[in-house]
Amino acid sequence: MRRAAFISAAVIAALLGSSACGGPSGQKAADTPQVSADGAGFGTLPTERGTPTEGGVVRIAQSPGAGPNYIFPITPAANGSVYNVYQLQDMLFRPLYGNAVGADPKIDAKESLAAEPTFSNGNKTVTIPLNDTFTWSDGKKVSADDVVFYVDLLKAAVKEDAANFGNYTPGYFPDSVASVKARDATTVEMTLTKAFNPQFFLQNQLSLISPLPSHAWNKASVDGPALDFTVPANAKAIYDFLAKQAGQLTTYATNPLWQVVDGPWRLTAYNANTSALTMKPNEAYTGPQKPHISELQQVAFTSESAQFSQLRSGQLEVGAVPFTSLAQAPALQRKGFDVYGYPSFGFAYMIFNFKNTTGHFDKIIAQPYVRQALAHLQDQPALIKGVFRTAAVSSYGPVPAVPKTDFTPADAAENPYPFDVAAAKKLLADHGWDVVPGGSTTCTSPGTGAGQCGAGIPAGTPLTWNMFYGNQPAVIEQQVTALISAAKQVGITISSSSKTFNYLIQNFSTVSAKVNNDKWAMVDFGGFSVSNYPTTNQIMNTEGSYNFGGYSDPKADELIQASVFGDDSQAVAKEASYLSKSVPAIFQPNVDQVFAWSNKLSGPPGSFASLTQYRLNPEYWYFTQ
Amino acid sequence: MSVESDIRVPASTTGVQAEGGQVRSSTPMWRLALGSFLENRLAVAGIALLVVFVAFSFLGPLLYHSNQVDTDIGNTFLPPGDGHPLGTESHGFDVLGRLMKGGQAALEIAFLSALIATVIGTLYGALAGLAGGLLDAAMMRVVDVLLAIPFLFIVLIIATRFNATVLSLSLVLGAFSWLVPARLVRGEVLTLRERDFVSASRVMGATRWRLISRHLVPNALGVVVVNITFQVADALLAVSALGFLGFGLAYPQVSWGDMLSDGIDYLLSGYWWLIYPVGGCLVLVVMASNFVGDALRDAVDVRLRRR
Amino acid sequence: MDAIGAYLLRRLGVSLVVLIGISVLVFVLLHTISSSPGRAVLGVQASPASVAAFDHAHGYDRPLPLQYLSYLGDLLHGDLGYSYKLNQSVVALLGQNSGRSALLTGVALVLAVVVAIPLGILQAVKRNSAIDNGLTALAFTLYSIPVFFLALVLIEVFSLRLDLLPSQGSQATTVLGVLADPVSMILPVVTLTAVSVAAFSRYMRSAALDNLAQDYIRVARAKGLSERQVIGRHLLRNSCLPIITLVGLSVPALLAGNLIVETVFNYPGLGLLFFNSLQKEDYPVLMAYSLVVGALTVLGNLVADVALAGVDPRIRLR
Repeated sequence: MRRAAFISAAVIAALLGSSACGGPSGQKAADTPQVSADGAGFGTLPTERGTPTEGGVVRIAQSPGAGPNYIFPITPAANGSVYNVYQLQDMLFRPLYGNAVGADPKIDAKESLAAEPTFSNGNKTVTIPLNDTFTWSDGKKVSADDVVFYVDLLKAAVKEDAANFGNYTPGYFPDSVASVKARDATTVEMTLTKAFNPQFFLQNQLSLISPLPSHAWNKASVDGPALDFTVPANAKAIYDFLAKQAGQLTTYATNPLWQVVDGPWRLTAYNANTSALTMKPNEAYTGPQKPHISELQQVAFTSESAQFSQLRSGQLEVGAVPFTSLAQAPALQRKGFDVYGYPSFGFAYMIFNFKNTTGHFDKIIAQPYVRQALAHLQDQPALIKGVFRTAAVSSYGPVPAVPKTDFTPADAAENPYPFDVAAAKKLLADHGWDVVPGGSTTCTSPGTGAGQCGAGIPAGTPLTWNMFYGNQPAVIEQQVTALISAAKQVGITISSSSKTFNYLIQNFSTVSAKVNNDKWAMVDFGGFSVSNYPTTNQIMNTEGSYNFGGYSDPKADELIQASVFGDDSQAVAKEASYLSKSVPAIFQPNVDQVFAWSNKLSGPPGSFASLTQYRLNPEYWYFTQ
Repeated sequence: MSVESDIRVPASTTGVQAEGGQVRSSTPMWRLALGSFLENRLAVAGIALLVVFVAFSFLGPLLYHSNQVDTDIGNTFLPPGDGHPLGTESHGFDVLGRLMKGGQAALEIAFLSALIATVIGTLYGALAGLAGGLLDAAMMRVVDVLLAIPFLFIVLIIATRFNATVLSLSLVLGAFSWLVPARLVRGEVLTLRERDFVSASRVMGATRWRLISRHLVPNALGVVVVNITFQVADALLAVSALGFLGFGLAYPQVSWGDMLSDGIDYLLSGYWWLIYPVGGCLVLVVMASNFVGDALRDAVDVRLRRR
Repeated sequence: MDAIGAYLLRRLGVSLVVLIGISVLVFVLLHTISSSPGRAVLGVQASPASVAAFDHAHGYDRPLPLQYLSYLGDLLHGDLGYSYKLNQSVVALLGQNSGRSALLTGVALVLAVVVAIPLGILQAVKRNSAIDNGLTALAFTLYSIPVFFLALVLIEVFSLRLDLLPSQGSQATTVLGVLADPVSMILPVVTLTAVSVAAFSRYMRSAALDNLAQDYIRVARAKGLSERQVIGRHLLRNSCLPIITLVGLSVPALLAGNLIVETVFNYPGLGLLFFNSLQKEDYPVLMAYSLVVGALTVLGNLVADVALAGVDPRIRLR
């Protein structure tokens, strides 16, 4: 799974029975039950049924306003979105290490072009053994050269401009690769600049690689000669050429470059205005499952309600169920749809600005007891019932309890700070605050001793600050208002203001908008989806490029460092557990992504469960009659 | 911003112009106007409705207590039932109580912005009308430019930057609504200043300010008063549109437009109590303002005709 | 040059000045809010150096008057800028969407006029009767309903409860495609028409009433013409001209209503484009939209003024 990306919390859920269903256990990875019987999933994940028929057209809704708009697998920051990767690029150009078909965020050898790598030389040498399964559509097998090609192009891209690769963080992939070469046709050898935690490197960095057809794309112009891409100057020329070609959206379906694919699909039509597209099966596909259906149409929409209307009226086979339309779920089922939802792997949070000096906020929020008190004011069960209509799961840290992974901490399902207004009150009162419920709580015992407010908080300081939040989706406002209302009960006054998502990311970041540091205390624009190896590196570490609030904790830094550069694959679980208790932010329920699909369509349960993780595996689907 | 403000200017293309100056008639002018006004049943109904809604919004909470500050996030979207005659909305607030609170903000903004717009517009228009010539032309060109820019555009852009409060929304709406009264008043002033009583005052040495305040404004008052009522209606619609489009008041404030915005989000879930009650209130108040304005205009016409 | 020609020329000159004024105001407003799209385009993790490079490459770091002049220059060459969010030139975007918007607005406008004229005349002829009062009440009600509320109610009743009509406008990509899907356009057109009909019919009623009191009507009646001939031949013709004025003046309202209707019905026209661009802070599109709307408003006012001048000679001489 790719690295952390923004999701502006596409919140959807179904109002059906809350028991989760497991599928039948079978040999294929996609068949294993993807939902544990913990009540986290929604609706029913139907078992595979019926005899597969070949053919048929499946129309699937794109996420509103977020259709894929970049085909070349080195995606610039301006086009960075999960949809480009999962719903276009990965379907044509298989990633080196692909995720399991299902909701579980882990790499599956069956969906990958290589077996798990071996690390040696103190984790500084990585050997990747390609399997012999995948072939390019022009007949050539996918080889180690193709992997080297990708890395060389990527290096050239980020050297030219850091914004050329949305997943780029200086020092990490591809900077971390000192050298890469194809030892033979099926073995790639990488030497790293420093030792990385093997699981981190595999799950989060190697998974970024999509081998590209080096034999077909190694040129700098349409009719140019083949170039040796290991030469950096050539790599740059090739990258520039390919990027330029990728900028011509109207040619996506016709440009011969993009027809050389190793994935189960090829692009046959693309609408540059709306991002709607059509894919047909790649006849030359040699991967695990060739598509049964004859055509996949991704239909573009500009709003959730629009796509839901189309779904309801039978003009789509697969679409999302916005949580605002939950009540329609039973009607959908009666109309012949299967409805299912599951939380995506990620977290939503309200960010604190640790660098805001207005009203001494930075000093106040630096005090752990203040953050803990705030955490006690978050009533997740009520939110899940009232805001998400039971279609969400409580989440207490950066790694949610579900979907469960090898890296989920054992205590992920325990709430270190359950909803308790009295506990919040006590925490404040015990530290020298005069708590005035419904009024203004002020510091009456300044100082750094036990039972005193804390360093830098003068006497009489009130607990009052501002909070900005995204104006879409509506659930953000509901959660923010609920917190503010609860905070009033302990005399904390928070004023709120809604802004567009764009405005928030432009202006409220201690990383890129330092000039505004004193203007905001908290912000809520949604959350992150996390990579398979759920470290919060770059999000919660002191110098992280997504550490918008400037959270800084040496112990957290140490744990994150171990997650990324150490040797223990369980380091990330320790990191998550620690962060859950140190309240770097207010964590919010993890929302179910709910989808509905025609019950004429069937396939392994995992191939539908993966929808909830933004991924598409339509090659497993088939019509049952 | 809206078309009705423009077409309410005496639409007659043959324009009745009264001759001569002020005439002392046997019946006081205001009584004439009042009489005409009261004859119009719709107008009386309008006034009554306005009074009812003002009472509902401002006095209602004294009689019907509901908590509009503390959210009850576990009990959202309850249909009308015990304890909640109109159900609850997306934060768990009681809808009936919220209607009252929303009405307060909506009415305050509507009246305040109408007032601001009218005051600014009247002075601006009177000045332009009196000044005449190049200054008048320049001032009116400014009005033309501002009128041509889509109102929603400006307000939505500004709304992405400032915090919407009752005062700031009133100011912004007022700042964009003064254009039409300015035009109207200027038109009136242009007509009035050719009249004898103005020349007479000038001959007697009246300053421009005295002219404006003592003679022109009172005579243009009829038009101004009519315009205020339509401004109120327009402002109410505009506030609702803004709230609906997502740029409304922030918690704990709320206006009817914000409530409607909630309604559209959950339209497909069938929560009708989020839509019809607040929509009904909005429509009734706007309608009442329009009735009153229409009747006032007829009354002013009467006054003019009897001069 | 005759009086009308001179007047027209004068008004055109004024309109041009107004247009330039609009462009300056909108440009300044947008730039004071956000000086460059660099950060918005490149995303949050782009370094300040990348953002600065982007700004420099696209000329966003020049002084404002220079930027305005170059924008004006581009305008004169037909270049309205480039939308980074939608990856197309603004002209292309406007081109794709304006046809659909024009269709919606045009149909609603024509329907409104066609319905309002006979309604207004009927009301004038049967003044103060039950029909007149009833229609007046209806007009007032429609007039007072916010456009989006009417749209919501129509969707709730006809789409959700009765399941008769689709809840969103045609999603076809071409105007012809929209025409081929008339059922989906019923609700949007009805919404937009309803409010206009209310305003237009009131105006028609008022104008018809004024005309009915005129001498020429009395003369026509005295000459023995039937009531139908009086209405059809004389009243109708003379009351229609003010409608042109009204249509011209209602351009801003129509465009605003269009925005709301398109947003509620998710109809891919200029209004929806504007609203989505607002969310995404896509400034070139916002700029172009307001210029287009401003130009249309000025045009509408011009048409209205000229029509009025055609009727009332006194205005021409001012």
